[in-house]
Amino acid sequence: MEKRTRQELSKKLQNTGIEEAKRKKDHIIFFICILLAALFWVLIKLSGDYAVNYTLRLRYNNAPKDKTVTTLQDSSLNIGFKANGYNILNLLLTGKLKILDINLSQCQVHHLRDDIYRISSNNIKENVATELGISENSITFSKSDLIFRMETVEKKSITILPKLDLTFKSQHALYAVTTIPKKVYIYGPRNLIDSILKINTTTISLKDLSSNLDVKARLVNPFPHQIRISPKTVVIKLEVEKFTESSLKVPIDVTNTRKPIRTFPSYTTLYFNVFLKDYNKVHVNQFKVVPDTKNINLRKVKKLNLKLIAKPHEISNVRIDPVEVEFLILN
Amino acid sequence: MKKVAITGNIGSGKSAACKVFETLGIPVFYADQQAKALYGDVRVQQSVREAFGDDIFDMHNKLIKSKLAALIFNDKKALQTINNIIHPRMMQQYANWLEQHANAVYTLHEAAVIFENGLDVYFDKIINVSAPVELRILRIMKRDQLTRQAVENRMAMQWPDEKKNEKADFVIVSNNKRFLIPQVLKIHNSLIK
Repeated sequence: MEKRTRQELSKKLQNTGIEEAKRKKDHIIFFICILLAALFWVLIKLSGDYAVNYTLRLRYNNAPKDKTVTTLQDSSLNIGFKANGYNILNLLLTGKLKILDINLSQCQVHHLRDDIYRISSNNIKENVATELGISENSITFSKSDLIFRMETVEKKSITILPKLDLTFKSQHALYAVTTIPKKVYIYGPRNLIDSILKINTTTISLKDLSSNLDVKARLVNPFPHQIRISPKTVVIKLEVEKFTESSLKVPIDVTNTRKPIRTFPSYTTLYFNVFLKDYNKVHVNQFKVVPDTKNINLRKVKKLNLKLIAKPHEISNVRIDPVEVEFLILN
Repeated sequence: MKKVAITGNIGSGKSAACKVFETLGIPVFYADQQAKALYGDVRVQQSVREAFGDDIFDMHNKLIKSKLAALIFNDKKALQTINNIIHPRMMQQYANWLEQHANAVYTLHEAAVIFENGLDVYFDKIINVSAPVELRILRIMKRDQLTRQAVENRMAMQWPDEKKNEKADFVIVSNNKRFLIPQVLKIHNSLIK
């Protein structure tokens, strides 16, 4: 009896599973049908013609030799056209409905005044039609004329400023930095190239330097649409040297003070960093330390600050000790 | 003419004070410099050779000063011996020098050891230049490129500042905090009265 009940139950469960699978299959077929219907609907719709309007950003190319487009009075253009859905979808997917490239070499460019030029939008209709793959007759523009400024390209030789972010091993520092070439040419409108005094490189970051290194660096164009730099890259030569701290006892020069004075002590010690290769180039007579008496009433102060007014260029990080001295006014 | 001695332990700043006195027109006899010069005297060298042997002379018969310094700064008896050789000659030079400056209102005799050698009796007034021990050690280490131990050995041969200050007529404090010139001017004005 119990065995029979178990068999019936098993059979029942089997039937339920089959029904469930059948129901799932029906659902899938239903959804496939829906999808196919939607696809056909979209295809039918795409085959139809539509009138659309888009605002396109204008980009002028192929300006006449020795000229460059600097300012756009009309930087965008509303374009209306008729095309079938497939075309429009294609244009949207390829991004052709964002920027409109205007090839100036294929346009009739009219000079209005000074550096102002004009082209007729009708002039570009054929090109636009070809570019967009639509009928020329179906295109309408919001403006009949496109106005822009085009200036003469001039050339200027300019210094390069390497941007460096360097760290060094202990007691090493940058001795010299040069670029090859030392200068590059920039090409662009006169007023713009005149405003540029130096061209930076991209930032070169290097760590723990202890020896010379040559690095290739790209030049940063501050006005990429209006200026051209040639060459676009330079080699930065980094000369890394070992330095040491040195000191020199230097007499305090009181020959040019307003009143004759004598300082105590009459010498001060200068501590500074010097590259090993320059160590023997540094001499005491290259330094000049004077008491700072500017705007000071000598009868009211007891000490004078010392300032270093001359030093060889080979040294850095100078420290004066003592930095202030007592003094007597001599009669 | 008053005979004034200016003393002070090693690194106290005696020379700096003396430079101010010189600017005020006071002649200064630098006894320690004179003593150093005396080591070049043949008779002094002979006495030193007799006292300490040939070892402190090099092959050219030149006194090896570093060896002599090591000897006298570590041995009080050796220091006494060298003082007995140098001081009489040096005081003779001082006497000659004084004659040359007989017209001065007062003169200064600069020496590190005045009290220690009992020379204070020669002078009318004594100025002691006093500075904190640590500051003196740092000054000498920096000036003479010596180790701390070497500086301390030299200092051990000298009286402490407190003892010198007690016996001195004037004290100049040279601690990088108090101004030097006003202290010197005060003493100068007192001496020319």
